[in-house]
Amino acid sequence: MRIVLGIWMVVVVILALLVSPPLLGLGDAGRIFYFHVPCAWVSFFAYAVAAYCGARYLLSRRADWDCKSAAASQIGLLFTVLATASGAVWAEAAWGQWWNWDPRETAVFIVLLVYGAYFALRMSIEQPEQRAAISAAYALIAIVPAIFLIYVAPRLVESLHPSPVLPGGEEKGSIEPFIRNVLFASLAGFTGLFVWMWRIQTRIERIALGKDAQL
Amino acid sequence: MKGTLRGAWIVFLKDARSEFRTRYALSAILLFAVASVALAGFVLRGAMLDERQAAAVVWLIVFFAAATGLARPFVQEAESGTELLLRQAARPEAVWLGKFAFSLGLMAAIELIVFPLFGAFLGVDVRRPGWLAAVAAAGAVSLSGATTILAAMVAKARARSSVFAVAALPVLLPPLVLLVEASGPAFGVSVGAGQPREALLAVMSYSGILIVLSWFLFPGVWEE
Repeated sequence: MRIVLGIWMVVVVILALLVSPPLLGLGDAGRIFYFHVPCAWVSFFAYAVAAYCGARYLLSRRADWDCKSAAASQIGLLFTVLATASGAVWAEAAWGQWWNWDPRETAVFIVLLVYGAYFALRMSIEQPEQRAAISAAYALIAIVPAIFLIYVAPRLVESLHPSPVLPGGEEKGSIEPFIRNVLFASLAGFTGLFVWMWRIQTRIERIALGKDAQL
Repeated sequence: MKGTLRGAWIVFLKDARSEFRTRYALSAILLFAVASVALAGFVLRGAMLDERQAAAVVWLIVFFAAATGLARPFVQEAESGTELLLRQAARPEAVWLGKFAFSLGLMAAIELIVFPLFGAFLGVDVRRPGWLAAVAAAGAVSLSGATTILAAMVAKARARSSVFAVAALPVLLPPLVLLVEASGPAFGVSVGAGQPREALLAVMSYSGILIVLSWFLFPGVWEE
């Protein structure tokens, strides 16, 4: 899997940086689109996985689901940071400012705070079963503001941010086929990257849990 | 269902009596609310707040006043060691409902103090009191609904008060922003037709989803 993923990502990087035409009227800076959109997608996907694993933990009380949920949240947080940073680069190129308090920019930043709070809460509980149950419940609660902030809030207020280009977005079909194909290749690659990182992080969580149990 | 409602009523009465004896949460919240409004009035003296700024300041004060006391119903059980007893005496649903009703009462008290004081100290006119009452009611349900389960979670943590504020703020930010948006007409903001109503509906939907989710998740948190 690692080798296929590595080759896939190299091809995506070459297509995005060297083959694809400059896009969105931003020249070469616009190429960050191929990395910003997948980072945002993976962060939300990771939070959905964290919520699902949290629900499975609450139903089964198997510690492995807690490890998977915590691992997904950690990777989600990392990709949210990357989406925020790459969004700031895009904002600077498009609007001349790194940060504009645009509803979508702000929404992603609040999602960052929501999952920062998840770890503050998780780290403040010592007993492993309590920590797992409460983290699982918080992961399920946190998905509500995440959905609201990412999908609902930007539609309620005016935004500088381009409309979503993913399925369901208003501008579906307005994007050139080659650019769309590279974007989907990048989305697939980043999703694979998430799965790979998630498996490693889950193993780390299991080891940490074993150490916790020994203490 | 009847048993749950009766249990919830008993939990609510227990908390209300305990609060009446100690007046811990209420006095802390009310003092914080009065001090915050007075501070805002002092810092902003002479400044002409526009209606949106007025709505933002008043809801921030309400939020932080709530953050000082809304964790209390569960933190008190943990600190006094009565959690186990309550777990034996009442079903989780009854505990959640009783604590939610108690938090709602605290929120109503906060709003009844903050809104009139804010108007008086900062000279802000309320143009549509009926609309403000509707938005305040939605705000009370929203804030207490979301914080009830968070308080139950935080009661099991170390450094409870700081963790509560950290955990509650990001979850409550969306309704807070919408409440500011919805409060506009009450303070005289002329916005596009339907926008505050949409914001109020969004607050109610958001709170409704969180309350239903909390209802289902609470037994898992409480019985752990």
